[in-house]
Amino acid sequence: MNQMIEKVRHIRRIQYLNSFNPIFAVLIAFLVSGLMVLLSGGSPIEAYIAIARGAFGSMSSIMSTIRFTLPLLLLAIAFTMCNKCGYFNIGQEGQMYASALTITWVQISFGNSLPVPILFLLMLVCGAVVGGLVSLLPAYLKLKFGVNEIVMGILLNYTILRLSDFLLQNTALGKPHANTSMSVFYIPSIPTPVLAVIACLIVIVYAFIEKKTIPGYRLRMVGSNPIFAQFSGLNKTKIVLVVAMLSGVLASLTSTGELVGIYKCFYYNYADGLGFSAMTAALIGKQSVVGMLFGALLLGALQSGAIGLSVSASASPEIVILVRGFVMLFGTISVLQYFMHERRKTKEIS
Amino acid sequence: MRPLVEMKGITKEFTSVVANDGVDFELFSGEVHSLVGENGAGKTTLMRILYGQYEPDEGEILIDGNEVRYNIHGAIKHGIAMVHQNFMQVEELSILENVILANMDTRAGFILRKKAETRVNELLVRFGVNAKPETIVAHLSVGERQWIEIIKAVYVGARILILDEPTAVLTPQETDKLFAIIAELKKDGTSIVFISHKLREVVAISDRVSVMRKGKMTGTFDSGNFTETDIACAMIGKQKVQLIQNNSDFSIGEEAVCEASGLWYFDDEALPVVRDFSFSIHKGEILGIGGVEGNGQSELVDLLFGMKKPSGGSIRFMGTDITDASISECRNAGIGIIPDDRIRVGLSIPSTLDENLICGIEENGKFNHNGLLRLNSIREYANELVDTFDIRGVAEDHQIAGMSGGNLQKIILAREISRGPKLLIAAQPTRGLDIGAINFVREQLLHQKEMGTAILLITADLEELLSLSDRILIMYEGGCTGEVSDVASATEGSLGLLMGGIKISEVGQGA
Repeated sequence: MNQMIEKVRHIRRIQYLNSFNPIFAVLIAFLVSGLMVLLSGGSPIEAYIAIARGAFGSMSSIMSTIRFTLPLLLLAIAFTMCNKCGYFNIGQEGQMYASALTITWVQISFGNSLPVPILFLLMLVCGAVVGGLVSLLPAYLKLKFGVNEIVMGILLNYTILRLSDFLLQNTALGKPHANTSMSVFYIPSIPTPVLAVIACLIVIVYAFIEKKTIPGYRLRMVGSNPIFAQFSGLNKTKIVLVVAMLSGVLASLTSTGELVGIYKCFYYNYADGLGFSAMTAALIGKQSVVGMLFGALLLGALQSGAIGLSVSASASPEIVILVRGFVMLFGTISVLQYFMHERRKTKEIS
Repeated sequence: MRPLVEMKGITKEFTSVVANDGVDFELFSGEVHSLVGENGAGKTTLMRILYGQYEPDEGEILIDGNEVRYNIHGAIKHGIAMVHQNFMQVEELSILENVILANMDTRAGFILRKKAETRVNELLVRFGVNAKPETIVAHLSVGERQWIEIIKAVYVGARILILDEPTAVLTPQETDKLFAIIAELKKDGTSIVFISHKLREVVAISDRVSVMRKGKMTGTFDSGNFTETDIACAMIGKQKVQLIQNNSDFSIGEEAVCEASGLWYFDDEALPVVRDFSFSIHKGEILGIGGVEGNGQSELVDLLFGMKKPSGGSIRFMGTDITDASISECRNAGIGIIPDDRIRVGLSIPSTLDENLICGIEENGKFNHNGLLRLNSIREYANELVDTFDIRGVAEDHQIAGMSGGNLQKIILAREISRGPKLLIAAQPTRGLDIGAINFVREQLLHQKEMGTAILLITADLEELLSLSDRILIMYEGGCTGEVSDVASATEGSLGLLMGGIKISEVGQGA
């Protein structure tokens, strides 16, 4: 009995330590990246100050941070809900490009004939359908034939990216001899704070569904032990497919926001690295809603700070990519646990 | 006489669980020394330390009177070999390749295959294994793979052979054969450590018996100085404890709860895992399905509740056909299951007790209010079951990670029984539990029988099969080798023959 209580305490202690892991991962990432800057002859402190100023220094820089945070947050949620039920959704960029292509097509086909609100609605719906289907494909093939969804997802990303390049260059979707869509979206833009509120609402709704509702419960059970969930009578296949589709829909909403709200057109490779950044945000957030919020904010601030950095001369903006990479690296390994030598001791007891 | 091996004051801790606590152990040359104790008593840990797989935190090991420190490679040099509970074999390789893996004779980088083949062949003949050195290990039966493990040990010239629960996967007849081999090895001067918790076997072959309990050595009995009861008492640290038996006179109903006829199931490699298996089970009846593990029992269970679809045959439950029903349809119709793997299948360890209990019935009005979870009444429901089923060690936040096997099994029982099943499938329900928990499970099963539940008991433990069942079917290679309806006059020996694939017509009832 005492042994058991000890064991439970030990597990709790590790869980507690693990909850601090992301903070350490971020700190170490900053330290190591700073060292790199130092080695290449720059001043890390200056660089970090410039980043901080670029991210939070003025009202407009704060707005810019929010602007970069929002898509990351939505994609992080989309990634997490799939991950929770055992489907590693790495294909978010592909889903975004696919829905961007759809949105562009809607704009070109109906832009002149439909009133703006209906056009916007049509874009949202069509984009969501295509994004959902693209996300569904690897999930379906995984469940049906055991295809590796990671390989499939990454390859789909490339395929759809190149397809968009081809379509933009060779069809009426794009400007002649350029891989940018020719259409300019003239939908009135929504102010950033309103967007932030909408994103926060989505986060809260997601958290509520996951924690307090029957579908959320099923999602969590399929995630924590799929065999048990199936054994208990839950329809695992259906749950995973529905979640995969919803995730694709969320990615496509993000895509619509970026295209309509920011770029006002579809240019080639506009979401480069966005999916991976969102995964990093989800990972350092330990897939908890609050954690993801901070994770997305951190990466959003870095991205927005990079603009500030490119103005100052002391270090190149690439340091931001460096930090992001190290955050991902140290976030995935349990740094704290390693240092406390807990790993070696948690060997199987027999 | 000086012992061949002396282990003094061995202590080994895993994260806060003390697996060995100041254990002394001696092994003389040419003796069979049994090491017994409940699961988790620390037997395997102690022997893995002797085998060099674990390093002790404290204590010393003396071989031939010299203090030694070594790892697995060193152990082989000292002539120590261990046959693990889970075989350490490369299934895709041949017997020969497996045997010489640890100890290859080479010349200029080439394996001297001819020489090795002759020796391996000799050993195969000596141990009566009906296989050629080039046979692929994956094609062998579980029993045969056990011989290969022992041949491996003899091949490297072991003078200390550790056998970790070798009889768990053997039929009684194969066990006899193993004992003959042990006797022969003993004659050659090999020392043998025999880990088991089957007392009868221990008494039959041991020169000395050491008993472990909760990481400590609680007693060593010398040859001729012990009975099963002595050892059992030392094992559980109590005066005699009886396992609960099925001697209730509750009548078995006429009405068939579940009928399976001519079930076939082919696995991914198109091999028939269940072949032409039929049975019917009645209200208030415990139907025992025995057999060496891996003869189609787990597939049969999967077929019955819709996890797998039969390739042929049909299943009727309470008069309706459920052959093609989904898992949730089967479960809603009143089939409850205690799965054989409680960690992987029976529970979701990262989830809470509450989440584990309501899985599959979360839409019930008690837990569900227009799609929202009624967290408070779910918590109440869980607390009720904790009281009814005496589940201990539940944490404040109802996390279940870290609970003992017995209590985890109680959670599963609570979940399945509280749903009022008409058919309860219990697969290896007491495996790995201590005596207290075993009796609790048996009590619950018998109580369900009284209530009129049909119970399909799948177990590899003959004692359990004989003590609980009203009727017994033995499975061998997916088929049924016989039905025993007069359980009282059946013996472990007659069941053993059936388990080895000899048909009932050849054995005769209760012979």
